[in-house]
Amino acid sequence: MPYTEIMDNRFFDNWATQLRKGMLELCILNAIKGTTLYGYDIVRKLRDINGLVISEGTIYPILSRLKREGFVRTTIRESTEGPARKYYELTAKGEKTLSPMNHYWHDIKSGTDSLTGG
Amino acid sequence: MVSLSENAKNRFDDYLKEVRDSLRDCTTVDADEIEQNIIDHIQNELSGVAEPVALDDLDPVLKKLGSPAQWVPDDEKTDSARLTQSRVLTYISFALTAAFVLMSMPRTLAVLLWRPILETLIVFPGNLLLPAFILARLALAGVWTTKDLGRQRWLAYPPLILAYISILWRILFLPALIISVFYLPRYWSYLKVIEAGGQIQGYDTFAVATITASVGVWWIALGTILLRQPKLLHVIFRPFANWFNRKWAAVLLCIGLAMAICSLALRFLLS
Repeated sequence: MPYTEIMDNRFFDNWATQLRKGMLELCILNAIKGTTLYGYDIVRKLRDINGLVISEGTIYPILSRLKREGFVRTTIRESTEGPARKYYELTAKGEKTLSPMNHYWHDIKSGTDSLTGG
Repeated sequence: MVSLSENAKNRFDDYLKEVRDSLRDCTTVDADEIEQNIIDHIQNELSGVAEPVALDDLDPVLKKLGSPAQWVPDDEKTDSARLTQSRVLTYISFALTAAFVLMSMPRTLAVLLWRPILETLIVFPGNLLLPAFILARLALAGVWTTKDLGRQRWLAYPPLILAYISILWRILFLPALIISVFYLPRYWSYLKVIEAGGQIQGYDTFAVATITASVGVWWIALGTILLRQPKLLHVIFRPFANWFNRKWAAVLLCIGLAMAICSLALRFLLS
């Protein structure tokens, strides 16, 4: 059964919310790994991942938090399409943290795949 | 910014207010930065849409952004145990404030009727306001936003308002209070001269000009501090001063400057 059909299931809803929270941070950091992205472009990139972004606005507080914690930094650049834009990129601390995060996620994913036969 | 229709603009303003209200007390995120991100987001999502953008075009975009209340980080949400404690504190705080008001009434009456004996028999309730205020602040400290307290927040407001009024005028007129203490003995001595039939030209104006100048200089200092740290006032007068921003600090600074210049000029003319 597609997950969207059981979205009203409270247990599933809570579980999916918890899962998304951790995943969003990982995905944001991976989205800007090795590049600089405009905040809106990060949202566009992530909303294409099915089921990951239910409320698009959630991404902005996470970006702000990652910036406060020193995992990302911002630069303001002039834009031809309007006012100057804020671009996000990983800091050295962010890069250093992302690597074990990815390893951790791959370990969990391969473990769960072996359980579900995926 | 894309041009919005009247309805759409009102809706967007409400949404941004919701963003600010939800994230204002979050310490791990920058509410101003997020607000700007949301404005940029709307700008990008609606580019290419016929202007002025109608509410029907804006609403789906806001719906996809989601409710700002959901954006508060988990570790900045009030847990239920602390919420219960805070609500209990609001009840106690309100009870103390009510006792303060009720006990103040007969004393005020005694003062008005000038019955010093009666006045001394009535316990002065002023000290009840201090614990009421402390408990109200503790209740606020236990929650991330006052909205978390629900309707009980109204119980915490009376002691806060009474205490804040008392604090506010002392902060604003601190130099006037200090200088008045310095001038008062001299004023009394001058008063005696006047009562004896003598004349002291311009003394009152001179004293008022000095006090006004000192308040003006003090407001310049306060304005300068608050220009750098407007959130200082949010903390001191939580939750009522969240409207205060750098613009208001600049207004305070300008009024202080005008007061200082005018009163110093007057003082110079009189001396």
